[in-house]
Amino acid sequence: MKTKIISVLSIAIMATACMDELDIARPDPAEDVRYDQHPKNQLYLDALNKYKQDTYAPGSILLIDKPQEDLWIGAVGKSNLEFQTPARTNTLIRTGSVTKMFTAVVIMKLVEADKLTLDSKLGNLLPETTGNIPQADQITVRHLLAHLSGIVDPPNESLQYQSDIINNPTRMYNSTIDDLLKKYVYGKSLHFAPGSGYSYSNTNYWLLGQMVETITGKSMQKLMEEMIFIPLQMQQTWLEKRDDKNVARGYVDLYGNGVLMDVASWDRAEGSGRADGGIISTANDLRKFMKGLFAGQLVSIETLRQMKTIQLTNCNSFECEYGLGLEVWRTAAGTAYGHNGALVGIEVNVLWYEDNGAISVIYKNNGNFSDKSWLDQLVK
Amino acid sequence: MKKLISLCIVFLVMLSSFAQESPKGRQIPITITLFSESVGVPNFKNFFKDPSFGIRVGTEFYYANKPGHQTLQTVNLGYYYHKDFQSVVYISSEFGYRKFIGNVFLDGTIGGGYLLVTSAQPRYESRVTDFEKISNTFGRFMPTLGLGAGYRFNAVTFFSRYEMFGEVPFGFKGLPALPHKTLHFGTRFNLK
Repeated sequence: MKTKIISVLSIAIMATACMDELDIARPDPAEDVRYDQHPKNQLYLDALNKYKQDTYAPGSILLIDKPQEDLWIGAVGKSNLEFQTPARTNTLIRTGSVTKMFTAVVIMKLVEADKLTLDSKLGNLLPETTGNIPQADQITVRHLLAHLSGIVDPPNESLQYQSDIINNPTRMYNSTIDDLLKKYVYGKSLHFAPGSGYSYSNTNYWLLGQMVETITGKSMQKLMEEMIFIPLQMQQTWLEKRDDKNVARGYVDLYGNGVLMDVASWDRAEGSGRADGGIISTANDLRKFMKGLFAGQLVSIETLRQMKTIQLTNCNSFECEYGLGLEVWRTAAGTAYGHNGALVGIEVNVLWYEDNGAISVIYKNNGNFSDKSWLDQLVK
Repeated sequence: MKKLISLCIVFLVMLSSFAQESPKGRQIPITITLFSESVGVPNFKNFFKDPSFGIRVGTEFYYANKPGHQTLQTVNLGYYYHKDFQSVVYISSEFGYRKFIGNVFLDGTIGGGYLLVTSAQPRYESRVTDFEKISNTFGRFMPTLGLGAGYRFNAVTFFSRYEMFGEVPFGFKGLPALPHKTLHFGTRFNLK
């Protein structure tokens, strides 16, 4: 009797011990624009291959745009391991927090249009935050743009937020910003009094996105189209949630054993449609954005100067060197402005170098942090 | 599949070895629980909103079996299905202490086990020139910690347990283990 019951239970467990892998749609191949004739093709390609190898990434894309030479874009490895799809120079990529530069531009254009000011208060612009976020009546638009608000950052600080992505990525994907604020932000203490310190927080940009949509009555996607994508002819860039089978998939060594897991569904859950990290683009479209921004095509030179200025008055480390939506990078090629972006399965970095006006874009579809100082020599 | 079968065989061997003599003859205490699993820090979130169901069968061996308390060792075979993440078969053993107050009891356990994980996320490994797809089934160790409470009727006990376990080794963001939590509802009875 004992043996029979135990055997039946064991067999039942074995019979149910199956798990279907996630469905992955076959991507259409991206346009393969090649830059093989570029005089530094081999130099750049070698550097890119080394970066891919050093970071254990399935695929990587590099763009170098220097005023004194022709544009070069290279792609190595795979954008989708399931179908062994080659990474191409025009492969669509998630950009993570690079999106913050776009959101900041929209805000600054609204400031230029007198629709709001950098000193406008969060509590006035989004009344529902009053009483839910401490000192909402003292947190300004400037504080939000420059991460000086002290508001918590669930994607980086909350194990509950991170585990919720694993537990139910579909729910996270469908969550509104209101849902996220109520669940992970409201009722939490500030890290410091607004304006008195620096603490990077994605929440700041969730709130800025809500603010913009409230003020204008338009979606952030629509505003970015009108203010950025269309004027700069960025035809392969969007923010809103879309069927994204052609976007490069993200991977991560979750268990630290050298095995990469496809975590694109987690990146999609966290990095779709949001003003803090939702933009999908290509290396060349990101170049167009940086070129347009720093040439004064999007905002005035005075506004750009403000965006580049470090906002924390007593900042004494590289970690707080942040302007209005722009990170300040001290590199061997001089000061650079731009942003790093990371999701669980990707990392991307976009910089504009002040000394020579060069632009670099580096992307890989492994979410581990990487050293990018090798870029300095290439853009000098 | 070989690993899965091995796991079940180990469990059966251990189960049969834990059969104990009692005045009523040779008996095995059998534990069956249904549980909800979730990834995350210790709290009760997600158990009911995003339930991932599992079942566990097991037995107990008593180092001390007194009217007021028991010192025990459990052996368990479990399975759960976590949508879009993983399905897991595991074998575990825990050392525990159970205190009775009348027919009500509280217990605590600490132990470990082995998880056979089948991941929903495809997995790839670097070969000579490129990444190639590999099996999505792999093993992990599982440290466990649990607290329970229940009520003992004449021959049957009903109880609830809250257990934490980890997937070890883990390597993301410096975390030593991927934390899981489970909320069990179960019964224990003696099988002759």
